[in-house]
Amino acid sequence: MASRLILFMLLGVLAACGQPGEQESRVLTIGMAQMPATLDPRYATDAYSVRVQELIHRGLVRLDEHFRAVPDLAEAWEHPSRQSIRFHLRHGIRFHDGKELTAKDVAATLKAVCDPAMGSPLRSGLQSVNRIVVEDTYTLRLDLSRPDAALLAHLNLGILPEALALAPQQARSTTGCGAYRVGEWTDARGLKLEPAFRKELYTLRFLRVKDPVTRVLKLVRGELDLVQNDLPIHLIPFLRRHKAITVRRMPSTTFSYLGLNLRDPHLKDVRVRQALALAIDREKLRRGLMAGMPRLAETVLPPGHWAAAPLPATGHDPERAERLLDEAGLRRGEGGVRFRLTYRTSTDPLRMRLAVAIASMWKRIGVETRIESMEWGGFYARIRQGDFQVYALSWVGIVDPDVYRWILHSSMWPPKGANRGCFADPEVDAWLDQAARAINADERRRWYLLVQRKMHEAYVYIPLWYEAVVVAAGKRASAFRPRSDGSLLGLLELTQPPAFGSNRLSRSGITPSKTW
Amino acid sequence: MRWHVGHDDKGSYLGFRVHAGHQVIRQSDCPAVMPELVSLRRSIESRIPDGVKSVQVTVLHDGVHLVWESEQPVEPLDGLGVNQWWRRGSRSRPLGGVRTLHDCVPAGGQRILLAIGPDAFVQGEGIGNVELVSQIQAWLPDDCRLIADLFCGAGNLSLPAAVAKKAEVVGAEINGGSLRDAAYNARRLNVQARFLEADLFGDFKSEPFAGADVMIIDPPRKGCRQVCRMLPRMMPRRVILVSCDSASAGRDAALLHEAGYRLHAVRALDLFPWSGHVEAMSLWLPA
Repeated sequence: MASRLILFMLLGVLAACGQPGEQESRVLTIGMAQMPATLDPRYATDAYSVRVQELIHRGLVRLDEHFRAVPDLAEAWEHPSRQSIRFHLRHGIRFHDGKELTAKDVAATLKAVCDPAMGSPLRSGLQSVNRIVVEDTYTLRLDLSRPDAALLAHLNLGILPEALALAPQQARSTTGCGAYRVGEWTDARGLKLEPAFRKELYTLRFLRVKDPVTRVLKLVRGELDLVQNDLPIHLIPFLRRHKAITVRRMPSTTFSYLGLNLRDPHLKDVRVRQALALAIDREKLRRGLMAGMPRLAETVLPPGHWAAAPLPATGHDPERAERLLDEAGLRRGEGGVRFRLTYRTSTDPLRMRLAVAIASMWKRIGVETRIESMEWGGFYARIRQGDFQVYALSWVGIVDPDVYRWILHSSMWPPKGANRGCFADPEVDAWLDQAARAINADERRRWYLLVQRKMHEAYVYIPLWYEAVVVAAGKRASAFRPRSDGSLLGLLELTQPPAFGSNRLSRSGITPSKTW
Repeated sequence: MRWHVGHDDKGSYLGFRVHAGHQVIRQSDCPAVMPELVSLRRSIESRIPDGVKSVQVTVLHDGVHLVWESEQPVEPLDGLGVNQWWRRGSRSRPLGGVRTLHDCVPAGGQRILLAIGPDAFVQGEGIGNVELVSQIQAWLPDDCRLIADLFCGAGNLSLPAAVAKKAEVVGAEINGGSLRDAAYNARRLNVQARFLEADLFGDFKSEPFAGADVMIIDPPRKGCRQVCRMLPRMMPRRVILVSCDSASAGRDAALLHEAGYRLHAVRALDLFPWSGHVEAMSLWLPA
């Protein structure tokens, strides 16, 4: 009896050894394919940097789930004229070092981004800012060189203390006024972020795990608590079989499409472009190539975006496609071929499989497709120059509808802008100009609705889908909800369980559940 | 409401036409007509000016418009106590001094006055109109900043809604008199509004109506086929259809469905008691 008791005690001790210690239980470990390039908000452009620095810094505004600018550090703003904005800062906001945030800090950060000598990649978003005036401790005015409705969406840029904002880039240490302060950052132990104000939040540790399969295995073994994206599609069913793992998905803002050259002798006819669209069975591609994860798309802005247009679904109708090609004078010739196209894509294996599948669908309507896959640099350079008939690409992280100006305005033909297919329509130009001049979001939305409708009808792009944000989480992070822009701010909704209690559920009020 | 002038061996009289015909029926009384109008008819029936073919009357909150419809000039009758007008074609001229008359309708928690001229279209029955205007406001989205009003008349439906929601209005109508009244009412009520002359049965410019938070469509009996076809270009967030003919409402409903909208709510209003007419109101949301 006594020896049995000793065995149970030993098992208990071993089991206790297998559980995370008191300190580790306060830490959530997040696996990433790459570490952030910088924690400095003036220089953060890659997705990893942007996601992590959002936890450390706050901007004048933040973008809500509809991508509208809503108050953050600024509690309100007004337009004294069409070419100026006055921001009123919240009182009592403190940086991680305890100093209070003032208009001087905001002005210094914005001036640094606008200063060509600082070389901030975010400068183009603030190009309309002519003068930054500190009116008092909590009031700041931006004078603009022209009305710029898109400016607000760029002012979610993290604000630094004045002293840091005047200094050169500091990639691995920073001070903000966000929910987390930077702890340590070593290659071996990764980047540690500690709760700055709300002690009930978990400490976060970001670890680089380069190999996607290793990331999945570490998650299953409990060495990681959370992985977002960069998950191999074929391992999703494996993850879903594990009871301890919650897999969630959310349509992202990454819009995949086929671009068409509207100056091409065949593709300049809208009937031909429409026929190519109707020949593609997007649903089949979505399920067959993408494990059913993306959401079919019709325009660049995702549904739910404040300016997104409700557009009819691009159908799959090969018979109609053939009739349209007949009407366009492209009848089947020798070998049933109507005409030939060159489809340019990158060497990414998934993109290659997509190209092959689409070529086979087009072959059924008599369009012979030659696929040209090129390494990324060469491929992208050709697309930017307008050197293509058809190409496949994605728009990533679009939050402001001004992107349509970049894509459709006739002044944006290559090499200047992203109107790569050389679309030209004076009515669309006028709508885009009106939208750019409008400072009222409702008015902007109305112009962009018209623009999106016209773009859809003209088949400037063949829309494919919005790729999915996929999250796999262990038990402690199971309540984490992904956001369409890939933001990790959902981590702020995860709180530690009470120190001495049996209730292991999150106190966030969110009930963990499987969404698949 | 319009009486036509008939003649029989007892003399001239004011009555209604038979169903699907031009014959004018002499009637001593009509339960569908308000008692004050029966009195008015009796007081003018024996004195109908020469050349008058028909008489239009509009009863409003603070008075009555009486329009003599005739090809030749008309002299006003004494002692009627109503605004008298002479209409030739589509234009009405005042006969003597006339006052601005108003409809009184709900707007959120208050009542507002809408000026209504003799040429503006108004719903035929005051109490029913209050119900109709109230139902529209009950169907507005919480966040309603732009109201598109097609077949807008004098702004009877959209302007009270705009006051209730502090929204902007863009309206369209082919009747110039209604448009003038609508613009005047918007100015008086301090509502930001544009009212455009448009043939909504033809190829009208849809751009000004794009992206409305709600589109109110109140077509005449033949319905709004062309408007429904243009809906995908106008992309309203919701549609309120007010149909005075249930058969055309059915046809329009099929087109709304085709345009990607789904029926969310429906209400029948007995706007003309004692008649077979039913006003069909329906709310449509995107699929």
